[in-house]
Parts: sequence; C-alpha cells; structure tokens
Amino acid sequence: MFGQIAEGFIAMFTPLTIILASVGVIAGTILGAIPGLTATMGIALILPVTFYLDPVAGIVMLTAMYKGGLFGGSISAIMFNAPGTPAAAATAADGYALKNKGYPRKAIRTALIASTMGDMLGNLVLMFSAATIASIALRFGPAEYTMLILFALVLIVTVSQGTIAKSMISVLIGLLLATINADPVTSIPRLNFGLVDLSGGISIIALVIGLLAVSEVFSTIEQHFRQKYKPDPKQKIEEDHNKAISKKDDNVTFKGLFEIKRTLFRSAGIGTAIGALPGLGPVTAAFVGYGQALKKSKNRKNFGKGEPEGIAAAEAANSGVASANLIPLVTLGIPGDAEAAIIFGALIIHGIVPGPRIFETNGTIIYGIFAGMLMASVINLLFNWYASNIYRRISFIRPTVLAPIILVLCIAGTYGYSQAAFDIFVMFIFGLLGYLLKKIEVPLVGIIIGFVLGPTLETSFRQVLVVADGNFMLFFTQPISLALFLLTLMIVINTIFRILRAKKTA
Amino acid sequence: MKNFHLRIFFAALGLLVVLAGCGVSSSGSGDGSDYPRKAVTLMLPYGAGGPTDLFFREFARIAEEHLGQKIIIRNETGGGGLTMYSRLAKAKPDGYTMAAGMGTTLYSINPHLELMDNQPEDFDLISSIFEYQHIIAASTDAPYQTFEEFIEYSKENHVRIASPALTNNIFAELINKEENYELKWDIISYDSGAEAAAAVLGGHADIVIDAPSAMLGSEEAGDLNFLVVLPENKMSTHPDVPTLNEFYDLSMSAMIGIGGPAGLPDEVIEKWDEVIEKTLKDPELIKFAENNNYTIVKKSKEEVQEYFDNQREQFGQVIDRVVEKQN
Repeated sequence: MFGQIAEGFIAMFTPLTIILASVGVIAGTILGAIPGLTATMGIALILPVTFYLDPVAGIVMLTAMYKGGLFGGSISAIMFNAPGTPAAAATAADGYALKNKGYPRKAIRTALIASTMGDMLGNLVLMFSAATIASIALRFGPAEYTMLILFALVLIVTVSQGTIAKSMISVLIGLLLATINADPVTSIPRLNFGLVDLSGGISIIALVIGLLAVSEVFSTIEQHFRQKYKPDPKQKIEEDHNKAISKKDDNVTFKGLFEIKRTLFRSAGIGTAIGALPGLGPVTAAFVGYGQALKKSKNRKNFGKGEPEGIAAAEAANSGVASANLIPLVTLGIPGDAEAAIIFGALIIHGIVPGPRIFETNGTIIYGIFAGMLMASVINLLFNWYASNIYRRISFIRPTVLAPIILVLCIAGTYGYSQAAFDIFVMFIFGLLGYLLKKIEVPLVGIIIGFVLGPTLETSFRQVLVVADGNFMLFFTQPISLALFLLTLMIVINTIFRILRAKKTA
Repeated sequence: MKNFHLRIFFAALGLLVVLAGCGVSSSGSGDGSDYPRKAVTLMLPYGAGGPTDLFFREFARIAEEHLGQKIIIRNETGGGGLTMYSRLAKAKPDGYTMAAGMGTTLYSINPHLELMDNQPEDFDLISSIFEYQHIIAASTDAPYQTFEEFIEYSKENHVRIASPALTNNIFAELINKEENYELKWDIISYDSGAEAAAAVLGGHADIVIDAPSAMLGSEEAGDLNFLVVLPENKMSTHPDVPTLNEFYDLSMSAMIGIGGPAGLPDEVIEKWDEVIEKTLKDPELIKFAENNNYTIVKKSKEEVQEYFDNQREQFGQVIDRVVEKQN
C-alpha cells in the first residue's frame, strides 16, 4: 500500500498537474464566491476538458475546483452574508458578524484554516481507512438516516440562540417548504400550486440567497434611511470604530487557534463521517458541526455574534465532506453526491470502473488522485491566505454602495443557477420573508437546515414504513438507530432541565 | 472623488455580469438553409455525471465533427427534469435549442399521470438514440442465486425492492403481473440509483432494479449478483446474464431520443438525422456504448412512434397499481 502511495505521489507531482490544480483552485474560488454559481456547476462545466487529460491530472483538476468552490462560497458568505454555495450558509452566521465587527481578514483566515483542516482529515481518512468507513456507512439504512436527521434537527433547535419556540418555528417552516417537490415515493409533483416551476421543489439557491443576502440588503436600505432621517449617534461611533482596526490586528493568532482545537477536530470528524454517508452532503455537515460546537464550546454565548470558533466549526465540517464524499465511490463504486457522480463519470470515460477492486487494478492512479487532492488543499490555503488581503479591502466599501451590487449579483446568481426567471421572484419572496422574520427574531438558519434535511427525512421515514409495514419498532430494534434515538432523547431531557434550572434561578 | 470612481467601477462590474448572463441566451434568426451557423444547445433533463449525461457528452463530442458546430450540453434538472420540457416547448424552433431525453417519461408515463402540461405534440422527435439496460441485481449473500430461484423465493417471502425511479416501479409491477401478482414485493423508492445500490449492499433492501453503471464495481468484487436483464438484448459486458424474455413473453426498456420544439424546419431535421446516423455508426461511440452497457437504437420516426405506443399500453396495464399502492 505504501509503495502505491509513493508511486501515486510521483505520478501526481508533474508540472502540468500542479498548474491544473492551481487553475482549478483559483477558478473554483471565483465561481464559488459568486452566489449561485456552485462548485458542482463549475466541475460540470470543465468536465469535458478533463476527458482529454490523463486521469490523474483531470480528476485532480476537478477536485481542486470543487475545493476552491466550496471555500469561495464561504468568502461571499463572510463578506456579504450571501453564501456562494448553500454549504456556506452556516459559515455566514459568525463569519458575517465578525466581518461587521471589522475583522474581515481574520474571519476569512479562520475559515480557511478550519477548511484546510477538515479537508486534510477527510483526505487522510479517504487514503487510509476508506474501506472501514464505507462498511460502517453501509449499515446506515432508512431507520438510521431518519434518526440521524431527527438528531440533527433537535440539536439545531435546542442549541440555537434565542427562544426554543422560535427556533422550532424556523425549522418547521423549513420542513414545510421542503414538502413542495415531487413525492419521494411516486415521483409525482405535489403541493406545487399548479406551477411547473415548483414541481421539482423550491430552488435551494433562491431560498438561501433570498433569506440571508437579500434580507440583509433590505436591512441595509432600512438602516440607511433611518440614519438619514433620524441619526443615531451610537451607530456613528460604531462605524468609526470599524475603520480603526489595523491590518495587524485583523488576523488569526496561534493562541486563538489553539483554543479552538477541539472544535476544529470535532467538526472535521463530523464532516468526514457525514461525507461518507451518501445523500447528506456539506450543508448538513456544516450545521451539525456548528450545532455540536455550540453545545460544547465555552464561548457559546458569543456564537452568532462573530465568534471565530463558530466559523471554524462550520467550515471544518463542510470541508470534511469534500474528500470524504469520495469514500463510497472508491470503495463501492457508488457516487454519494453530485460531485462524486461527476468524478465517477470522469473515471468511466477513462475506462476505470470504480469499485472495491480499484486499489488493486488502478492503485497508482487512485493514490495519485488522493495525493493531488492533498496538494489542492495546500494550494487553496496559500492562494486564499494572500487573497484575503484583497477581500479585506472590499469590506471598506460603504454598505450603501455595496448593497445594489450585491443585489445584482444575487439576481444574476440565482438566475444563473437554474436559468429560470421564476427563481428570481422566489428569491425576492424569501428576501422579504427573511427581512420580516429577522424583525421578530426568528433565526433564519433553521429554515435552511429544515429545508435541506426535510426531503431525506421524509424519504427515509417512508422507506421505513414500507420495509416494516407500518411498524415503528424498526427504529428501536436496530442498534445504531436506537443509539441515535437515545442521544436525541438525552438532548431533549437535558434542555428541559436547563430551562427549568434557568427559571428557578431567575 | 475616489468614491465616485469606485461607484463607476462597480456599476460596470454589475453590468458585465448581467450582460454575460444575457449573452448566452441571445439567438439569431434565419430560415434554416445554412443551418447550423452557430453553436447548438442540447438540453438534458438529468444531472451532470449520471448515465444519460455521460453518454450524451461522448455523443456530442463526436457529433460536433459531423454537425460542424459546437454542441453545448445543458443539464436542465429542475422539476425532476420536467421543467426541461416546458422550456423546450417555449423555445424557438430554429434548431439551436435541441434536447436529448424525449423518451419514456414524455411518451409513455405522462399520458397516464399528467405530470406536466406539455403533450407529445409540442415536440418534434428526430430519432431515438439509445436504450438503458435495466437489470435486476441482488446481494451474493441472498438465498437465491438465479432469477428463477428469486421468483420462487418471492412467492413465499417478502422481498424489498429498491427502485430509484417511477419507470423502474412500473417494470417491477409488470413482472409481478406475469406471476398473477403472487410475488410479495415491497417497492422502496430511493432518490438515485447509487443510493438504491448502496441499500442492497448494506442489507437494507434485497433487490435493486436499475441501469447497472453504479453496480459494476461491486459486481466485479463479488458483492452483487446480476439476476436478469430487462430488455431483449444481453449486456455486452456480462453476456451470461439471462434476459427477461427467456422467462416470460415480456421485455422492457426505457428509450431516449433527440428532438426539439414542434415546428422544426425540414433542413434542421434532415441535418440532425444525418448527424445522428453518422455519430451512432462511429466506432468510438460504439465502443463506448459497449463498455458501458448502452444499447444504441437508431429507429425511424414511425418505428419510434410504434415503440412508444406499445410501451404506453404496456405501462397502462399496471400504472394504476403503481400509483395507488404507494399513496
């Protein structure tokens, strides 16, 4: 095995591969940073190019682009609260707040280090223990998926800032919106109000960008007019304060990173584990990582208010997925998500059939690809580390100048994602909804997580009902499912006690 | 002053983005006599990297030489692939917006279920392209190793069938009909073929019905066992696997073709017919299809019509059962 790994590194370390990986990372970052142009679209676009390259160079370029794209999504999430890819929605929570405090470069670099950590861990697991992880992942059937998602949803509800009632409302809105799609069992469109455009469900990009970025633009407009007609002296001071933070202070420190090491490793692990399960993806990972950090961290009070630990928790988890999602592909020949499906296609075009025997038949190529992925992480780290200086400059632009630009980008991005003008309306509706919900302090991320997890929850739950012929006991007779259920129950009981105690002391 | 420049800069940037968005979709006009004068968009109702996408990317690469223009593949996956049809129906019939994927869903399922408003008359189908080779696969640990044993087993025991699409559910019901609905099959729907295959490997389902692309690796490693091929042609990579019509007077397939919005000029249809003819005979494409289990089918318009008429009727026999059972 180590011989193959060494051969793989040699096969990968060619000038062409290095150039292609760099191009992939840079192009991916730019694409990802534009809301609506996702990393997956990026790699679908360059897929035909890779047919003409040798498999290692071609696939390394694809994965480099995906990694760059995932991170690019976080850049716009931090700078504009407009997650370039849905996976960055959790990063936006603390990232945008920290940027608003005047630390854009610190926010970006924290995200970058966390992202690289998550990515590296996923990559090493992929390299050394893919087969083991895959065999565990296969044990996740419908009952386990249902319980895992229930666990994630309960976690999000109980750890959210603000009242539990409001976070429940938010998650439930998300679940409700997720029911607008094709029925998972019969594939027949339902609840679409007779609109064909809705028969495949609401576009996730329109929802995320609308809720987070467009609502933020509306708030900026409101603030501007408030400021103009009824100046608030406190606000003015805060603005001046922003400019006072020097470039030197706007940076990550070793001490700061050391303090959040637990969160970094925990989130990276969560990302890797969720990545290995087909059909869940980076959005789920990011929110579960964020939720777990909220539960465990000493700084949990500052989460959502620009806490670097929150950024790290979300980023390490969503990047952990970027390599781990290839685990089912290389060990079973099963592409777990859209990105893996595209790489699957690229392998097939080169005449390589992914499956359990791929390490024997094409070991050098596979390890070459893994090595290239590690290199892509490093390139991503270097490139964005220096580029964060440019991003810092963007943050000096006045919000009133920036708002219309962001709005244009949101519209272009939402349209670009699906090429449906209908989605632009959807985006504005969610922008308005987000703006109103913010006024009554209903957390918006709950809607996104509910929306993302809803379809898998429904599909898995209904699969259980078919398998067990309507008998709920299946949830409690499977060991993994039972364990997840008990864990969920513990969180609920724990939360009830916490609330009771808080009431007593109050 | 500095601010002013910044404003101009960003206004220009914004405009650029908008223009870039528009540039792609602008299209010229013409009577079609010098067709094609520019790149042609080929829409697909399925996502990038899936079996349909893979085939048409290879197809487009070769067809470009015969067409003399670039072919741009666009994955229109909205509405579970349904929005592609409404978008195609609204497109100008000038031959620059074409689609691959006009097949079983449009002609054989939609008339029964009315999933979308568009009817077959809204489109011009030029030619069929290929058939998917659906197979039935089981884990090698299963108590049955052949199709006959599997059928006997399912008369006595409940079997969980993982199916990633409505068409595949219909296939399962059609086989069950041959056995007078004596088979105790529970159909479990999955979002994708990959997830369905994983369910069988993990023991959460017993059988998977799908095109084999996501199963080849596991079969090679001895984890999956191919029981039967549903269409009448054997798999080129696994010629030992029997076909369904060796057991019943039944064979099933899903076919996909290339077409455009209704009212395509004759020149366009002729040109594409010629391009498709040449591309499907290209040895490179034939080799690709063989290695990856696509059955290339070049049928005339009338033959395709007949194929779908038969299929629609075949599906009609069980479609109520499929939809009702699952509601």
